[in-house]
Amino acid sequence: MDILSAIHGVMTDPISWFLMVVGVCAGVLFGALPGISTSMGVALMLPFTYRLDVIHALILMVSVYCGGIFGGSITAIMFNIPGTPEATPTTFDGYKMTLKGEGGKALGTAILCSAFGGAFSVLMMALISPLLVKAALNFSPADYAAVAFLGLSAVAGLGHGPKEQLKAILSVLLGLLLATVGIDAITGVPRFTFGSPALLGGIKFIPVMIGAFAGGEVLRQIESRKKGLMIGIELFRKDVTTRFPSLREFLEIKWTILKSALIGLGIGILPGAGATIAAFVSYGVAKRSSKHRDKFGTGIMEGVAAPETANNASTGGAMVPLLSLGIPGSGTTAVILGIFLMYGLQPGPLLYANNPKLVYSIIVGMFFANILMIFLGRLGARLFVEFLRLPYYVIGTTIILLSVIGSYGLDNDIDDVWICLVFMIIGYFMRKYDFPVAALVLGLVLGKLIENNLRRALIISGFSWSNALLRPLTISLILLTIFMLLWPYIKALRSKEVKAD
Amino acid sequence: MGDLIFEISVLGIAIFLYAAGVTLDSKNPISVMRPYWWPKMILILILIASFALILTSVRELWVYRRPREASKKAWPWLLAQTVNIILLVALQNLLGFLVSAIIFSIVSSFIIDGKLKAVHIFISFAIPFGLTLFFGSVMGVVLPRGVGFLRELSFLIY
Repeated sequence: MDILSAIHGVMTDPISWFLMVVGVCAGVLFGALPGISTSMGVALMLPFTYRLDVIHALILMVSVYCGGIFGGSITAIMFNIPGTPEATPTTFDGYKMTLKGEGGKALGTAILCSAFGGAFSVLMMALISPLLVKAALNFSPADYAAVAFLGLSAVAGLGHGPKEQLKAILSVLLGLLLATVGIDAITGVPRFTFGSPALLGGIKFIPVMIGAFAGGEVLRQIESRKKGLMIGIELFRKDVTTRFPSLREFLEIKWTILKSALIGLGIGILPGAGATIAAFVSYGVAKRSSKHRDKFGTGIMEGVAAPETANNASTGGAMVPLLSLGIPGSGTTAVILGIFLMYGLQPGPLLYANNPKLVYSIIVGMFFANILMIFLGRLGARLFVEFLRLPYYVIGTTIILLSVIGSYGLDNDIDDVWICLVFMIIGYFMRKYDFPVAALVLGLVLGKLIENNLRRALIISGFSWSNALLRPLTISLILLTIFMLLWPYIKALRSKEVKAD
Repeated sequence: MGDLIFEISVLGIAIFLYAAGVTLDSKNPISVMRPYWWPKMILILILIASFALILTSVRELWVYRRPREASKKAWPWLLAQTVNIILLVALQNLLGFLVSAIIFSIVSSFIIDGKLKAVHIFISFAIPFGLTLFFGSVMGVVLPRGVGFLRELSFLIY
């Protein structure tokens, strides 16, 4: 009944439709612009939500999220430059199709497959999340702490080697430490405030996210450009007329699309794996299982369909743990969690119970945003490419000004802008030395949840670690977290052994 | 070398905060009930992780002797842009959002593009005006208005 009411509410609300259109367009634009990630795009859209009610704000943000994942494929196909990391495998066949004069068809395939992958994952999200919510209603504080720890293992996907993994772990620890600033919820003692009243309430997520994601990237881009390391996009005139594949062509690759959608959904649910891994894995699986495996990499539709379906299917997957457990599994979903918290809401089982209309409105909004992508992607591809011609001084200056407005507009407090500025500088150094900013944000967002639940669990158990943690679910989750954190080291060790052999 | 300095800085900050935590922590017999119990656990892990990272970086520096970075110096521009952002924030209350944003945009255009032509000036006015009108008037975000006549003037715009 709730879902029918949500469908009716969203479908008959012109503001929701307007926000979905704006969100998808902005997301595609951010995704298409190299140097603006989906997380950064979602963070930059925050000031646009300040005067919206929570349902509209979240509909706008999930639309940006869906559009952003697709947007990266435009530059990947037209210029061989992935606008976002998750569009990298799309370049393998997409750009080759452009060279063969089939760029329009590659774009059409990317649009249809992204929309299908996204819409499919949203439907699955609507089915899976309530089941997870039922299980989560029986969670103890220790279980919650363990689930949040599992969310932190998302950092496993953010580092691509033992050293990078160590950097990701350090980033997440710094985020956890930042979450401890302010008055301690249990003892009421101020921690690490150094006498500053501005820090008594803790460090707010929003200025940190905006500063670290957006401002830090602008400073990094300036550095790259001044060092002459930035390769400009050769924006010679190209025919950007989108052409959808025929029904027969589409049906020929139906199994690739379905497999990729399932892979994307599954990988999206796992913390840390995300859209990039989903796109690479599905490209590999499609290549291995295809009748035309030798043609992969030469410019075939299947090579575009697989990664594009999977990376958009991961969006619905990534929203499952966020909506049902309140645990974000990626940088972008961490920013979306920040919006929930900004409105005083904690996603999780209680949100499903107390505010089902909100949850289902997000699901419905996300579904329609994916459908809208078909029309907006087709109509707007040429326009989005025109935006790539904007000089960086326009983009960089606008990003900084939006960051300032976003931080100030939160509570009309200049202290928030100073916090944003500090994290712009920290974000710059983190990017420069390959520390994942998303890990810091994830630590900051999950820090309080872990600390409060862990301490609550220890208090309930009479301050006994064994009583608190030695429960089947808790211990399984902790072991799974440890395994995910150690996995890159095990993989590196195994590859060393293989090389030695 | 820069990454090593960054990692040493993180280690230094962690040691400082740990010392602060130890000094400030209460003497509650039950450790969980001490306010710095959790931060100290995190700080210990930070100390271990940053120490391991420093060792890895030193080893890499020693073994591989990485080539020097590109010769073109970017740091004066970065420093200039950082000061520009600091001024943007610091002048908000005095000059208001619009005026400080225009000054910021002009300097930022010069820093990023390395030149200042009429088009840069035009865009440096257009972006702050556009953002101020949209957020100040349409979205209802209360942007800083400045003092004196700038404040009066701001009410005519947003």
